[in-house]
Amino acid sequence: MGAATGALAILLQRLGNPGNMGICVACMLRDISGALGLHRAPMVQYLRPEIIGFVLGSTASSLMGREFRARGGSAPLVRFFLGFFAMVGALVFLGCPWRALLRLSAGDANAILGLLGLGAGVWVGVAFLKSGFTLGRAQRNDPRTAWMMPALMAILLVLLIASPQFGRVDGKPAGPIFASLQGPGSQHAPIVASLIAGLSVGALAQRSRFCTVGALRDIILVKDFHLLGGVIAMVVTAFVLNLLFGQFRWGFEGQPIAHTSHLWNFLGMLLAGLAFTLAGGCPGRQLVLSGEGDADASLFVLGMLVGAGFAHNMSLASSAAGTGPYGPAAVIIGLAFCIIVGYFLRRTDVGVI
Amino acid sequence: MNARGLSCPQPVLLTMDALRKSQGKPVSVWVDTEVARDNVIRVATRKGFKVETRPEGDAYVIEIEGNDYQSCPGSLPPGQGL
Repeated sequence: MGAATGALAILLQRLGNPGNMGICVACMLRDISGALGLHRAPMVQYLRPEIIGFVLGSTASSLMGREFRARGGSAPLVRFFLGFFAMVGALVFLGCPWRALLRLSAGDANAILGLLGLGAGVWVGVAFLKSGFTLGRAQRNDPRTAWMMPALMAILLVLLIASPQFGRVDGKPAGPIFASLQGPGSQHAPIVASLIAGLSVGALAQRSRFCTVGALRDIILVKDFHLLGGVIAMVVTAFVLNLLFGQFRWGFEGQPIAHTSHLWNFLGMLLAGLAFTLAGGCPGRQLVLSGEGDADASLFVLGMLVGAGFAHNMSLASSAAGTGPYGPAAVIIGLAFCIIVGYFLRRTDVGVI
Repeated sequence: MNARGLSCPQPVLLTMDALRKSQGKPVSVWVDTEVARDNVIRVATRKGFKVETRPEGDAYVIEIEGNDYQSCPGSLPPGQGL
């Protein structure tokens, strides 16, 4: 699974996706947020089919494996805001854990700070988990409600292909749906390639439980290395392909869609890692769970989508030039939120029947 | 031990906790997802416990046989990891 994801990411980048962004759950959700007009940053607007594919691929795979099941009700609003702040942290760093690994595999040394931050965030999250943190039980829901998220993705796919113009500027049709004419949002592989790759990754991730945050968490928590293999396979595969294509360039400066503010690369991912751990998985994993019928994971994803809108509307997101004016403050607020949630939602009677 | 509806890694954490407190008595863990079932089985097996699983309605019951946690092979003394 890891090797396939690494290979598909490089392939998508060769086919047109932005630099070191063959696959990035955070960036791609942010582009979808822009395409829908939740933010108006003209460079990062595109209904990324990869995300649609992750969810629908997971739906198909979980239907086949009889794991497609409606469930939800475990502190939904808390999960929404964990998704919101996870996105803020990821956009201060410029990438989700998957992209952090892909950036590393192409020689972007800034990714090291991000991954260290991610590890630190997971470590803090594990400390809360060990002391009894829980978002409570999810319940079985009406089976038909499991189709909400797959249906939403199907609608997004229709909107991508039809690209209607819902907005009006001086009476003339305009976006949304937006699609960038320049910048990262305008760089994308052909729709069919993106969709097939997304479906494949979604199905594989569903089968293998691939989760970057889970891998780190299980090592810290129970010395269990079984998820780490996939993560290492992803980095090694992408690294080898980057070498083959002559795309490997080591250094901090001039890396694609990256900045060199070490402190905020670290703290941005610390926030993201902590939020992912409290919510039970990295953003790729949350997407996969949303495709299985998990309403709690779906709310986390929707929180990320809204968080991306805020991050670009309110100058929280970083760019190649560095952090946004209010990015650092937003990271501090996000960390405060996660620490308050982690501290106060502890119980000692979780497993009692 | 009821771990139904809890997200990763809580089922595993609760299982380890229950095994530590069981003093050699068998432990039954209830989970309702395949992911949680597999994780609990993997961790318990690795710690040297014998495990049996059966479906029960829309959940799984994992019976972990009694074993003195501190003397089973490959386990850490309490207070060191899990």
